Amino acid sequence: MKKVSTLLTFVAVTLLFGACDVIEDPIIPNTGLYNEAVYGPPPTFGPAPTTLKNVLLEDFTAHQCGNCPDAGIVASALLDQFPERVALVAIHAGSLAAYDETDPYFNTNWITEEGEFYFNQLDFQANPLGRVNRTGGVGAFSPPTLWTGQTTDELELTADLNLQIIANPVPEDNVVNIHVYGSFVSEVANTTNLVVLITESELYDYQLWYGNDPEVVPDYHHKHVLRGSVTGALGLQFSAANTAAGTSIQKDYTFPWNDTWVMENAHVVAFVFDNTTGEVLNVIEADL
Amino acid sequence: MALLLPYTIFAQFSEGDQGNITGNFSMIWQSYAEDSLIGAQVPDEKTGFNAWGNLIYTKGGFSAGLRYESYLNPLLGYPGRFKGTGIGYRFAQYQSEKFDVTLGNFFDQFGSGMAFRSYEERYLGLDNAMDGIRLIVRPFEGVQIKTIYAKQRFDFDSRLINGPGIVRAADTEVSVNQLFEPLKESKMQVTLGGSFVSRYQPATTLEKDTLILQMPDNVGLYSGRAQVFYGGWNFYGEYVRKINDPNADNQYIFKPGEGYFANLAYSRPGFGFNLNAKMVDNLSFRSDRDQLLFDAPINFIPAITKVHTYNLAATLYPYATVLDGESGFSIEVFKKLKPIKDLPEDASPLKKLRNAIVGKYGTNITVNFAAANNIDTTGFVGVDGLVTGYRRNSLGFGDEKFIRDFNVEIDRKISKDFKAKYTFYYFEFNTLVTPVTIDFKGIVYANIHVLELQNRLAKNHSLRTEFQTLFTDQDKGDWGTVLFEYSYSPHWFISVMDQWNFGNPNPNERVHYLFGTVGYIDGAHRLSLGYGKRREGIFCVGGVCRAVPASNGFEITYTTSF
Repeated sequence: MKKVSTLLTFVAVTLLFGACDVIEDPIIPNTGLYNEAVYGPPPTFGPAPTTLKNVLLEDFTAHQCGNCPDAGIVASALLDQFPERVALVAIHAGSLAAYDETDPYFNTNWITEEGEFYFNQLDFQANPLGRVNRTGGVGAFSPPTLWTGQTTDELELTADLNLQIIANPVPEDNVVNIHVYGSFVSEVANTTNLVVLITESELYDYQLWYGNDPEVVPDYHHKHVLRGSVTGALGLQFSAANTAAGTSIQKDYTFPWNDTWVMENAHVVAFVFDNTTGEVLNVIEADL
Repeated sequence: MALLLPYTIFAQFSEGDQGNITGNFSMIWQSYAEDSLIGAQVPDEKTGFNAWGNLIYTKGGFSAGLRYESYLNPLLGYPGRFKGTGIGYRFAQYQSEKFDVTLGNFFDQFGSGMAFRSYEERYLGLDNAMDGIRLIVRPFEGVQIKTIYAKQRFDFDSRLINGPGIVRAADTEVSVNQLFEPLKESKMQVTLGGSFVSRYQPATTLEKDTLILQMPDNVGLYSGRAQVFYGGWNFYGEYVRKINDPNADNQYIFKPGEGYFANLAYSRPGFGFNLNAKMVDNLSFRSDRDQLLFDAPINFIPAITKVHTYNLAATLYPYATVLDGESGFSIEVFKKLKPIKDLPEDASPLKKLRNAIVGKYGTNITVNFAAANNIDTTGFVGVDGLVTGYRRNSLGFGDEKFIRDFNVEIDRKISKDFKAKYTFYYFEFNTLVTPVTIDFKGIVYANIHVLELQNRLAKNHSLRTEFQTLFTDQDKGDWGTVLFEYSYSPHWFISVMDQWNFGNPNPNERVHYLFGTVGYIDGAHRLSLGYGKRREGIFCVGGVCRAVPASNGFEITYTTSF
C-alpha cells in the first residue's frame, strides 16, 4: 500500500506541472471593430506606392536610463533622414523605467503592458537596446551603434508585403478609425499577425542624461512613446499559412481613444510580423 | 555539451576502459535534368545532396552522441527550408536500474503515440526530436515514470532550430503483474498506462470574422491505455482527450479533441488475426499551433490501412491519416496451409488435389481489409460555427468515404530455388481527402495485381522479378510496372524498373518511367548508382505522406555503419 500511495503521489506531482487553459467562453468583447453603421463603408485602397520594405525601430528606453537620450538621438536622426519609411516606437520598460509618485523627478508612469511584453521577449534585457524589424527573431537585440547600419540595410530590401494605412480621428466621438491594407508581393509560408500600436510625441518630462548639464533634464522631449495598442502586443492574425502573392487583406478598426493621450500628437504604427520567425514583414505609420 | 564530449572521451580513455564508439552514415546525391514530358524540375544548383552521420559513444550506463547533417542543397521534394551543414542532434544520457536521464535531443513515445511521439522519418524529412530534459524513474519493479520538459525541432539551417512551443509531458506505465506479487505468475499479463502532455505557446487573441477570441497559452492532452496478454490473445486500447486547441489544422476552432485506438489480435502457429478500430476527432496536436502537415507534431495517429510496399500500390494511392477526423477499422487474417504429410497412394482425390494446391512447402494466405470514413458530425453555423465548429454525434462513420482497401496475398515456395507471391488489391480511394493527384477529384476505383517471383539461378546468383498492373477508369488510367533485380552475392546487384502509364486517357502522357540501378555491397557498406526517371507522386511512411516532384537524372546512394 505504501508503494501505491508513493506512486500516486509521484504521478500527481508529475501531472501538476503541465498546465491547461480550458476556455469556457473564448469570445471577448470586441471594442475595436470598425463601426460601419456609424462611419460608413471602410475606404478602399489602390496599388501601393512603393515595394520597398520600411523599418520598425523599437527603442527600449527608460526615464532613469542615463545613456538612453544618446540612443534617442540616433533614432531621431533616422526619423529625420527617412521620415516616411522609419516608424519609431520608444518603449519605456525595465527596472530603469520604474516610477515613484513621491519622487520629485521620476514620478511619471511611462510603462505599458505591451512594452513590458516586448521587453521580456529580449534575450537580454537592458536599456538602451533596440530591435530593427526584429531581424533575427523577437529575442535578438542591437545596441544603438548598430541601428543606423541595420536600418539602411533593411530599407534596401524589397518587401514581401506592402502596407498602406488611413487613420481618421473622430474627436467628437473620441474614437479613431484605422484602416490597414496589405497586399502580398511574394508568397508567405507562415501565418502572420497584425499589430497596431499608438505612440505619442510632444511629451516633456524628466529624463536622466549622463554627460548633460544638468544630468536630470526637467523638460526632456519624449518622442514616439508607446502608449497602448489596438490589437494587443502580439496582434491579431493577419494572414494564414502559405498566403499567395497577389493576396490583399484589409483590417478596419474603430478604436476608443484614451483621454489621457493627446490625439493630435499621436501616431498609429501598424506592422505585420511572421509568426514563426518573429521578424517584421513591413510597417507603416500614420500621424493623427 | 559538444565541447565537453572530447574531454569526456579522453577521461574515459585514460582509465584504460575506452568504452565504445558506434555510428552510421548515409548520403543521397541526385542530379536533375529537364524533362518537359514528365514535368521534371531543375533547381539552380542542378544537384541535390542529403547526408547524415551519427556518432555515439557508450561506456557503461553513459552514452553521448551527435548527428551531423548536410543539405547542400536538399533533394527536391525534401523540406526546402532545410539547408546548410552542421549538427542537428546531440545528446548525453545516463542510465541505471532506477534512473535514466537524457540531456539534449531524444526521441520517445507514449503508448501508441496518440498522446506523444517524437520520431524521425529521415527520408520523409520528418524529424520532431525533442530538445530538453527527459527523466525516467523506475521506483520499483513494474513501474516506470517518464517526465519530459523540452522544446521540439522545427527546422535546420546549419544548426538545429526549435519551434516556439514548450512541451511538458509525463507518462506512467504500470505492469500490474510485476507490482502485485500474487499475480506475477498469472497467465494473464496486464499493463496500464496514463499520460499527460501540455504545450505552452504564448498567445493573445485571434480575430475571426467579427469575433475576437481569447487563445489558450497552455493546451493539455491526457490519455489512458491498457494492454492485456492471455495465451495467444493480445488486446490494446487507448483513449485520448485534448482540451481546446485552436490551430491551423482545425481552422482555429475551440472544440476539444478526442480519439481512441483499439487492437485485438490472436495468433497461434499457422493462424492469426488482427482487428483494429480507430476514431480521431480534432486530434492534431503540435508544439506550434500554426504549423501544418508534418511540422512539429507532438502526437502520432496510427494508420488504419496496411503499409504497402509494391510500387503501384505504395506510390499511386497511398492513404494518409486524416488528423482532423477519421473513423475506421481494419481486419487481417493469416493462415498457413500445410500439405498432409506422408499421404498414402490410395488417398482420396480431394486430399491429393489439396496437396497439389498447397504444395510441398505449404502456402501462406493473408487477407486484409481496411475502411475509413469521415466522422459522424453536425456542423454549426454562425458564432457557434466559428468558435466550436461542429458536434460529433457518434463514434461511427460519417457519410464521406475516405478509403476502402482490400488485399489478398498468396505466398508459396514452389521449390528449393523458386518462390512466388501473388497479391491482389482493390482500392476505393478519395483523392479529395488525400490529394495524391491533381488530375481527378473524387473516388478512384482501382484493381492491382502483383506477381513476384524469386529464383535462385545458381550458387550466389538470384533473380527477383515483379509484374504489376493497376486498372482504373479514373485519374491517369491504367499502369504497369516491371522490375528485374539480379544479385550476385555477396557483393553485386543490378536492377531495372519500368513504370508505364499505358492507360493514360491522353496518349501523349503514356510515359515510361524507366530507372536502373547498379550497386556494390561490402559488409556494412552499400553503394549504388542509379539513372532514370521518377514520376511525381506521394511518398508515405506509416500514414504520413509528402509530395515528391518528378525527376530525371543520376542518383548515388551510400550507407554504412560501424
